Amino acid sequence: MENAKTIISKISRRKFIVGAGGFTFLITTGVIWPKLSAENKTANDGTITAWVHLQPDGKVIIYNPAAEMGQGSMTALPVLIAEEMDVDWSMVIIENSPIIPEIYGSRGFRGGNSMITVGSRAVSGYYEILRQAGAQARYVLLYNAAHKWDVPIQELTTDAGVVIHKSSGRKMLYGEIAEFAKSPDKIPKIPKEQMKQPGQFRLIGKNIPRYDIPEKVNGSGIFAMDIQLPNMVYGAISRSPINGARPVNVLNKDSILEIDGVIDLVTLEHGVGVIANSIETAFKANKQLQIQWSEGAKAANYNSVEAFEKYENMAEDASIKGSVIKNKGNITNALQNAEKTYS
Amino acid sequence: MQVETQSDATLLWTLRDHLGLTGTKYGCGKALCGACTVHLDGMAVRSCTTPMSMVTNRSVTTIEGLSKDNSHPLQIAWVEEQVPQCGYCQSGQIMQAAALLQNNSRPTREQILAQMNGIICRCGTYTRIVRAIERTAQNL
Repeated sequence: MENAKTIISKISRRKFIVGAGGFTFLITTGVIWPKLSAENKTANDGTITAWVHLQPDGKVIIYNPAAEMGQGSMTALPVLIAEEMDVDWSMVIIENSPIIPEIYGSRGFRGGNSMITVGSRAVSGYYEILRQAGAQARYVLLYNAAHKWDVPIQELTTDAGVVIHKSSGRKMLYGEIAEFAKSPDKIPKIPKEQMKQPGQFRLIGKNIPRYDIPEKVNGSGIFAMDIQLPNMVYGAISRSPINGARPVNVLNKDSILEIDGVIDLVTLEHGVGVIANSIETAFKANKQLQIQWSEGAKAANYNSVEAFEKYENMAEDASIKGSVIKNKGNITNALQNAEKTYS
Repeated sequence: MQVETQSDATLLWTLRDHLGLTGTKYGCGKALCGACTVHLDGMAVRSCTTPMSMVTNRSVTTIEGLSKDNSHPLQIAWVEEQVPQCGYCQSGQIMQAAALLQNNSRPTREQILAQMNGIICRCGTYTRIVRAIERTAQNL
């Protein structure tokens, strides 16, 4: 496990946050650093979070910790932060966070911090941790406004991107606070009862248009296949036609290697890969491969049509007793007591 | 526009790798899925099986060329109906639909289904695709 100091220097190396102006909420359980350059702060064993960057123009960059392409958690996770931070949603910019589980992982997942995006668990796994982060970010804003106005922090409220001091009628935009914000020495964990109650939600539970839709209707959205790097090479694999068969030999290896643009052939456990200087060439060479496959693969004599028939017969044969894997409730009773039955 | 390719090059890879227009997607490479659909002189074609020799001196429109700022009526409807899930096939879906509306601005539901049949969406966004096309046609 790396300590916080290491992590911070790693962040600055990766330069993932825009250098120009603004305030990054770099929060641990007890301490917040005002700027990434504050590397002289002592390391802390708490978890650092760095999900939010507030710009002087009021724009709020939220770093989405889940790798997500279509189910909507790319939008839903930043909503959790924005809700508790009380941000004007139209000012939110969502960017993908770098892969640093110590900072962006969720403890809601099994065992320590991790950044897995799996099993429909992103939103539930991050629900508490991101709302807490948002609430703490809001606390920092209130703290700074209270100092500026020299009023007790308890007298301040927020409303979608604005800090309000009701009794004097003063208001301060979040972006204005970014210009002078300093970090309090300690940020309290915000207790649940001080966070928003469901009736106060402005964003959670509402229909928020997905952030990634506009780029998916004009071709600008980047999928893995669209990433192009200088001097990139491409690979395509011919897999064995039968599960378990291994490539023994490529019969026309020499002529494949002579194809203009082909760089190399790679023998794998389950197939043969062509490396080429363009994807089109890799595909073209791949199609021409003459591969000799090993004999005797376990699946060689498997016939899925016959297997299906066999299972079908077993299912219909009442004399064959299956083995019970899970048993819950009593179906006979349930049917007898059912209000309505359909057949 | 001039571009130098190998003699057996296809339109798809020329667009993506030579011209950097990656909005047009590779799906099956066999004209079976429609993810690579573009317009050739206004007609919807599968760019993965369109040889460059067929394209010479003809006009090609890709998803990037449909509008400069997401303002094509179909793109607006696509956002309003929140059509895409993963979005990988949607360039092809939109280009196929755009070709339909160019020739027939008031298509029936049956005509929409017939035109869009064969452009495959693995996420299953078909009902939203049809709604977005119907919404566009009503507003044209």
